[in-house]
Amino acid sequence: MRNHHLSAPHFEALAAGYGDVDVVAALSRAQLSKRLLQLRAVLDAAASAHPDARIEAPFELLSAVQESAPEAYTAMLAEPHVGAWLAHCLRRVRGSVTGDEPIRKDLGHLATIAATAATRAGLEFELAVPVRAGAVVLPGLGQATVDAGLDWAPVSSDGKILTVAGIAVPDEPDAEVPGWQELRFLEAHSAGLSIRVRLDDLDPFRDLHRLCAADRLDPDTVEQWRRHFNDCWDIVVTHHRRYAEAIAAGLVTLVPLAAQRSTRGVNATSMDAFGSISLSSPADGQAFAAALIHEFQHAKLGALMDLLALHEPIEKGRYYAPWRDDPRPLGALLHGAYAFLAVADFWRVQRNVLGPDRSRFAHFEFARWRERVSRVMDVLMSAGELTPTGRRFVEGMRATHAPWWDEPVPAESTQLASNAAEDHWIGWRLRNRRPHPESIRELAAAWLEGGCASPRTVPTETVDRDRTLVHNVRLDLTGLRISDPERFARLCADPAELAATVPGVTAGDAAYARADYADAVTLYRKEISAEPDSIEAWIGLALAQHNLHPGRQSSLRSCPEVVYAVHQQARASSGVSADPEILADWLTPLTVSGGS
Amino acid sequence: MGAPDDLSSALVDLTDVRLVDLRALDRTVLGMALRRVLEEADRPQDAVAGFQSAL
Repeated sequence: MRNHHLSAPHFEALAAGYGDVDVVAALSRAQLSKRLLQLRAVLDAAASAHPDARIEAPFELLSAVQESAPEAYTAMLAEPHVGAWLAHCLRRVRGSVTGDEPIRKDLGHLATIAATAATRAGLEFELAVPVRAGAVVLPGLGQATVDAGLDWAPVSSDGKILTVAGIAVPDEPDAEVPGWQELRFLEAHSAGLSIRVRLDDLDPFRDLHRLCAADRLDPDTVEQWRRHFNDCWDIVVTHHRRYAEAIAAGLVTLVPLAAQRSTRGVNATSMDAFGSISLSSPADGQAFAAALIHEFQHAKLGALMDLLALHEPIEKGRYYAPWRDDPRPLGALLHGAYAFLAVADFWRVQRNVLGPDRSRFAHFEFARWRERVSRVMDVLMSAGELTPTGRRFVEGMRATHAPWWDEPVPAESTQLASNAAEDHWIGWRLRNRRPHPESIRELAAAWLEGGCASPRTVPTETVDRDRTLVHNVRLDLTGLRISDPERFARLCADPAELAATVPGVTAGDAAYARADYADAVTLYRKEISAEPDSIEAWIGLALAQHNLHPGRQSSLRSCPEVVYAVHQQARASSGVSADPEILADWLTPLTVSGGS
Repeated sequence: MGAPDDLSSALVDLTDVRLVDLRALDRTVLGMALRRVLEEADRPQDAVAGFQSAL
């Protein structure tokens, strides 16, 4: 039996950030093999530990589909949420996750998969399928509401008409039949390139990462998705063609997420469901396009990493990722770098699409991600965790990125991008870097005794922690200032309206955003005095002080986690809050050791 | 067989296998690829998520 392989040109195309229809076909074939391996492992486990699982009949039906209509069989196994189901079942039978339903029902979902494939193949069949939350979902088709209390329901077809729990499913799209809800599609055509994807608000395995999948969307909301998708596709095809063909070939499903106030918008890609992207309702076509390009990079890279080892199997280090608030292992860092390389490219091009009046935000995003991705690629290459193939891949990314340094960016955008990058880096250090406690106690004691700061170098370590998400008010304000300066000015003159528009904003944040740095320093000092453990206020003070005195060396920027920790320790020992700027000056110059 | 400069994968190609034969395939043939799938299932799930603020 032979193994998969990837041609060198396909690999190089992916490394550059792109990849065409043939590349996606190669990745999809590999995904099919992975799913069959998962299926084999699930069948083995079910045979030994779950003999009551109803999988024999559906397995036989799926085999019959393969014999009579191989294309329908392949298409069914390629369904993104079949991948999610397989990964979930494998985790369940191996005990690494639990589920809301009995395991035999999860395993029995094979029946709904087989029934859907057989329907598409035009076969006659009759099967019992599991009922979940009062409904039977046929993946990729739709959902039938069934009697409450039923655990299993019949599904059958005479080769022409599909009947689910007594409901004859209509042939016509959009036909309304009581008890049946059909999956809706988004279709778009632009410059000779078409795309058709499902808007999946039904599949029970569409949200295994618990990102808050939206329930059934109402028709108006679906129409809004369709409008934005049309606009999105025009943008992607017209201006970002190198990404468009792969997306058209590989994207099968969009899962709408319910917007959360804390996260505003969220996009996600599961490595278990190649071909599916989850996202909350995009604000417009441009936001949709940025999300689609970003997320499909994750899909391509995830599928590539199923084929080829790009990093060592055991990821030892934990690294700073400028797009996340928690430390990340190397594989995840590579994923982010690959996605944000495309994000930088997207905004690089959008600068020219939008015209001078509307391009300031695009310049800002391009400047921000061009610089951040470059630094992360350096970290990836020096970390010692990439395989030779992984190094070759990152070299390909670098080759795409290198010419971008020659592209001019307005000074204001560069400065704001630099501030935004610094903002995130300082906050990340304050949250994730832990200075050695003994050094902190020594420094706090020296401060309280009026001595010299010692030691001058403080060992620190990165704390391994779960995903965190921090809402950055200053970034919101920066975006507002860039994209709508008049509205920003109006809001600055009306603190109540500003607070209503940007929840959580402080007076220091507002002063900082309007570049009144002297005022911001004063206000952030007051905020720290009132709330000494407010990390946001410490970040704001470091940023405002640096912008007020650009040449001044300060441990507030170079070692914020040490200044913060000494401040907390001295306050705990003496009951008195030190002046943060005087303490930071006393600690300067100071260095930290350790960490990545 | 691919071209000489193709990158070869540890993932066994099952795309042409008849489903009825899948269960009978020797585990040693599936080898490292099956082991990798099992190891992946034992690791915590991690969606790659990108968050966007409302600007």
